[in-house]
Amino acid sequence: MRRLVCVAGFLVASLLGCGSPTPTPDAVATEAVIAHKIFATLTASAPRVAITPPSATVKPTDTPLSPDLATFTVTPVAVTVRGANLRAGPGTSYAKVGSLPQGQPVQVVARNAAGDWLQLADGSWIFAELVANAPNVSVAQLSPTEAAPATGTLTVTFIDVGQGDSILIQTADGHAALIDGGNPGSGVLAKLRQAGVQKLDLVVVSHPHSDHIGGLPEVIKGIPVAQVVASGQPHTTPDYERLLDAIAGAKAQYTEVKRGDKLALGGIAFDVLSPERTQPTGDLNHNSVVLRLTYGRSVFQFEGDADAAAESSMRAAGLLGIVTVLKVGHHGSRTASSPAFLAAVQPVIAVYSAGAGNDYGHPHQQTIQALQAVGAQIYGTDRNGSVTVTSDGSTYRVSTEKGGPMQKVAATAVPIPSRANPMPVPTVVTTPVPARTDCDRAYPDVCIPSPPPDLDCPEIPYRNFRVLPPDPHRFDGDHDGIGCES
Amino acid sequence: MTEKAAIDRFEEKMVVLIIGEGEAERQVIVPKKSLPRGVREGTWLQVEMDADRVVSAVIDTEETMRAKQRILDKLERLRRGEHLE
Repeated sequence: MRRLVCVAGFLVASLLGCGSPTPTPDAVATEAVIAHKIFATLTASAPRVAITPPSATVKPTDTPLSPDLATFTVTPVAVTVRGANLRAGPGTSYAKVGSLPQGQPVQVVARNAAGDWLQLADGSWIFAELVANAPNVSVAQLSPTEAAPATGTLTVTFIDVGQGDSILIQTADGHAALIDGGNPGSGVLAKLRQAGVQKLDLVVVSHPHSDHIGGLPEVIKGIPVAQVVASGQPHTTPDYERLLDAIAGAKAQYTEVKRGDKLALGGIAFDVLSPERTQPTGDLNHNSVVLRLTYGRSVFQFEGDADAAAESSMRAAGLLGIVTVLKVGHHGSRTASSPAFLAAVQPVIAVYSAGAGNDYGHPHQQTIQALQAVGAQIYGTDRNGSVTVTSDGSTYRVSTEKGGPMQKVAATAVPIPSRANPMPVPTVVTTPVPARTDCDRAYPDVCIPSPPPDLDCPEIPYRNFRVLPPDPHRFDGDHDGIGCES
Repeated sequence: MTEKAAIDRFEEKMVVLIIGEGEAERQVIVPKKSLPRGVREGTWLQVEMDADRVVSAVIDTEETMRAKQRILDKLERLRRGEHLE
């Protein structure tokens, strides 16, 4: 409910943007203007608003305190000395996120290192000279990245490249980064040109599978690319080799990144959350480059194909926090988006990238249900085409080539056994079991049907049974004539 | 006809193969079970295909090693920034 409640009160309303225009009905299908609901980027665990009501004001007094009250410390209440703007960060270069009238009591929780800006309990910042009676507070811990100053609009486009990933990030001052480029022939270069991209500051290779790198050589040869960053996991495929050739040909700087690194893009920066290290392990998905981009109060996180183990590692390292927009890991595969991870990042918007009718069943139903369980609005390139999220640092907007977010589908009702009647009288239905006549002759001691479908040992109840050639299910990996050895 | 193929990735029980060279290069998705045991992402094979079905597949250890070494050499040059000179 953290993100959905629009609390009453003028201060909160001005900060949360409750008064933002609601979408007109004819705009809803393709575009939704949504007041920015992420409010806790900087103070995830802090109370939303903690303002001392004026009636509780205790004025300092020269009158000696009675002995009964002597043990109480009377703290002057901090108030604004005149009307003041609130900023997303400690400086006027940060986005304006609200304003306060003169005489407004405020709760100061921290200051910046210079001491000229104060952070309020809601996470916003105010110029220190505009606050009287400010308490002596410690320097704000802004971790891991201080909110980037939001100047202008940041545009993040999840490009529809079929079954693959390609994400374009454009800053207001003309800087651009591309994460992945889809399969060979994805046409991503043409889409970049359509978007007005004439050069890329940064190309991020999340990991070297074809559905992420196949379209990149065309981009790197087609427009100037200053820098290419990657996970450090090499691959032995033609697509990977063409990527290396393209980087060399374009004379782009090549860098491998790991957890803790930062990638600058104009005045903003990505935090690298994963991989833990750049040494090759052969596990390409697991070592995907995972990036977080903080822009004002918006937080974008790009997962590549990182798996549940990578999610767990990021969580254990304390790197996860609330995000506004999550690029769902691995095309919505069940190998990613573990419940513990989603509970930690609680995306407002979740975008997966997948091709309609793909061969892998992406996105998996359990991923969709897990995303719905944390209240995410789900978009997918298979349903929505390219999905664009813009943010000015305090509000965001989602637009798609077609359609709106996925409607929540009620989970199939599973009947719950009644506790009131723990011993129901069983209804016995006798169904004759048809005699199996399709037992494969390669397994003479047991009855296993011939493929299709292909069966694996975990899918059958038998162990250590005789296997004769040709072993169509390949139960006998070591060819010793015994199948599914336990 | 036997063709070269490289394993791009595993997607649970399926394998994405990059088969053929030049104009004939294509991606084909096949069941893991249609390939020899011991294959990994990045393994090269000699395959015979009937459309999208694997008729035969043999691991090509020599090509795997050769491609790996060639690619690692290229990667090392990028890491050292030799291509920027």
